[in-house]
Amino acid sequence: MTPENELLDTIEELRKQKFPDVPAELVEQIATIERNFTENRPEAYKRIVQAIDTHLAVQASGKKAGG
Amino acid sequence: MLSIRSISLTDFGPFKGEQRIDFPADPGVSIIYGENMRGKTTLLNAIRYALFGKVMTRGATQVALHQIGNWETAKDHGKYGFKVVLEFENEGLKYELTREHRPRAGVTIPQTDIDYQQDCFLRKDGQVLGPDQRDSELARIMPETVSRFFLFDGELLQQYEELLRNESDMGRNIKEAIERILGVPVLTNGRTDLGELFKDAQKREAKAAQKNQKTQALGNQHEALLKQRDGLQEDTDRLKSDLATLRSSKASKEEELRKTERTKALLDERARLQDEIAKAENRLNEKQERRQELLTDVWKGLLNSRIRATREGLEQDLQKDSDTYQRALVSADINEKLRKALEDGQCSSCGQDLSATAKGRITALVSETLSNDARTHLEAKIQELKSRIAALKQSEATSNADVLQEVQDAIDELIVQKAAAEDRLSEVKDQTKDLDETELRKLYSDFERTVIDMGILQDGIKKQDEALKAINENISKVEAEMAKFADADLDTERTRKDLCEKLRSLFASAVDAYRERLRGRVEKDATALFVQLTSEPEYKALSINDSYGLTIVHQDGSVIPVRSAGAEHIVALSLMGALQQNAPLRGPIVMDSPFGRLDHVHTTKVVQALPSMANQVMLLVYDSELDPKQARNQLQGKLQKEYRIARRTARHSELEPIA
Amino acid sequence: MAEDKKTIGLTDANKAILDKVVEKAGFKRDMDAAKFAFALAISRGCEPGQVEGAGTIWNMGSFDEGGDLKALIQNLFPATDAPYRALESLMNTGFGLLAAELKANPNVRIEDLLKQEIKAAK
Repeated sequence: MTPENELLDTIEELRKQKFPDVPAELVEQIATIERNFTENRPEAYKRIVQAIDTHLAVQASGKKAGG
Repeated sequence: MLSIRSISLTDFGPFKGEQRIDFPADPGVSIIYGENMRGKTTLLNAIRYALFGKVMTRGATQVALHQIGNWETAKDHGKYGFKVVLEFENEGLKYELTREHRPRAGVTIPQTDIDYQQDCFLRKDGQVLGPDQRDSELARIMPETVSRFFLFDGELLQQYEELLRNESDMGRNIKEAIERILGVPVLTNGRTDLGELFKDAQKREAKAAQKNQKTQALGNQHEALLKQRDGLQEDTDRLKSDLATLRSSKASKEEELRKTERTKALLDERARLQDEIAKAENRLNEKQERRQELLTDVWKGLLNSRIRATREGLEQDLQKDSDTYQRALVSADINEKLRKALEDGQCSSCGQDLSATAKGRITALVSETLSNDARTHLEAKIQELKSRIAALKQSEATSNADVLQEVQDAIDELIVQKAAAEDRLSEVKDQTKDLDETELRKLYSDFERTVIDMGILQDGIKKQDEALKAINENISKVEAEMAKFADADLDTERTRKDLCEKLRSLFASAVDAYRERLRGRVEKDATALFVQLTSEPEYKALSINDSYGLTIVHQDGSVIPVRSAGAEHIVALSLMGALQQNAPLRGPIVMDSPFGRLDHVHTTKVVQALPSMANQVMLLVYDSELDPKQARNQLQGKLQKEYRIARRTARHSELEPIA
Repeated sequence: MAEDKKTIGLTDANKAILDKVVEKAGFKRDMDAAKFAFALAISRGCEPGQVEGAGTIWNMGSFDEGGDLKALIQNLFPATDAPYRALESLMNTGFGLLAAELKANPNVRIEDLLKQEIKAAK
């Protein structure tokens, strides 16, 4: 396992165990943002907000479409 | 993974004019040989300068940049300034980083850093990035905080011993750097950011509740509680920050105190000795006074034997004269009777007449007895003898010679004790003569003050935490109440809030879990490397602590508590290698004089292990540190490039490839 | 009968010895050292004699307050009709003895002399 994978693997294992309803892709997206913007916290925060907003919007529209 | 392709220097340190080193893309080791003062450390600094705009001395202090330009270029051509161009690849992308220092417009002979301006350009796949993007990109590829794990000075490897000491500033810095390189901040920052998002979501939930009449009151209550909580949290954060500052201050004071332990011990000893000497002086004075008193009468003891002899003589005379006197008294009585018999011509006892012979005998007898005068004289003599004897008896004094000797012995002992104490005091005074005692005492009292303040803060934080717990419970209660009401907006915000809380909790759990895994892996990989590098067969493994400090474990299971500089070197290299293997962030290892403290055996082992430590390794060494032939033998196909830094003049070195 | 002395003293040489002894032995007063010298002479069996060139240092009123010394000398040396003269003579003799002791051992101590004399007397 590569070091990058090690970190994602750790989170994923815990996600499956404790928060299976939290989407894996969103978690990975947040981790990637944090990795890429470790030295630029405001930018990281902004992007995480966007990611969560996007996810919630998709979820909401999916519900609507599902009816 | 960062991989350097070339370094170009222009008038950087002793590298006069434009010079370049190329590195192949294939993994392996490149070696640059150069004697002392030729520019090996300057090469390391060139990379550091390109990436971070800084140049450091061996003692890890920053060098003023105006001193970096090549001296000969400035003197011979009046040209000032310097430049480094670094070509590298990272994650399949090509980069060209140029950093340059030029004299400002209007400055002919720059004298200070202010006289220079710095330019920095980063090309990513041919495109020049804007300044913010450039900085962000560089920070992502090679953050300065972790540069110590890639660009390192063999002389500074001892720093890693600090990891074994919790709470030291240096140890904390290194630990943070290690976690940074291992990617832990991804999780800790995630935890923080998601925590903030969660709080924000709660506020949005409150706002949504306030919009609906049914939930308005609850919404208001919610908002108020959140504000209160924010206030409490701010206070708690402030207290925690103050505590962290104090903790750091305590650690550095402890370090100072450790350094001054010896000094304090000396000062305490000095005070004790001064007290001892003062007491000894007092006792000495007392004893000497006593001795003088004894000496006043000591002459009497000397006379004792003579007085005794005289007295005994007189007593004998007295005895003799007393006997004579007694006899004289008895005979006086008889004498009277004999004289009367002569007068009467008759014996006073029987009444018989005395014959002529008898008269003659009686006359002779009478003439033998003491006269009254003689008896009186004898009486007087006896009296005189008696009074002389009495006077002599009174004069006999107990000799105080023994007591005097005792006192003198005590004085001698005190003198010796005092002299020894004074000798030692003189030594101690010499050792403490340049000391600033006030500073030292202040340090001790500051330390005590810090500990007390920390205690107060810890109590405060505990109370704050309890208050936060209570308020969070109240918040949860209000939220539970709000959840009973159906409302589209409220539902949306609640969903957001729940998601953020789960994400935050997930990242929070991941921090400890990841650290555990990492420590396990780093320990395993560091051990594997250590066992390769050490020549001591009884050293079985390395054991890791919470700060990534490594201790050597003996095959019998005990730890090796103290280790030599050479052992420290090997352990630090093992840690470097293990971090490289486990870090999401990877790059080349550039080592300046890595073998300085190692013997031939260990140098060989390190060289052999280098290719496994990182994809790209650059060694900056001198010949006697690493023999070129030996290096070629050991590295074989893994040896990519060899260069030599050749001397032209004291201020001009040239990089020459070794064929 | 010769009149007894009212003041007594030491020869110049003995005065020097007195000063040395007072300093070395740590006597409180020089009178104490003088009595010591006198006693030492008696201990060693010396007899009073004549002294030439003795200056004047002590007045007998203060040297022999109460007259005990006088009575003692008269007791030990009944033949003498001038006890203080005898005292002066014995004192000077004693300093002579001390000078010899100091010459033999410059670091001699009073305590050691005492021990010596007491041992010899037994």
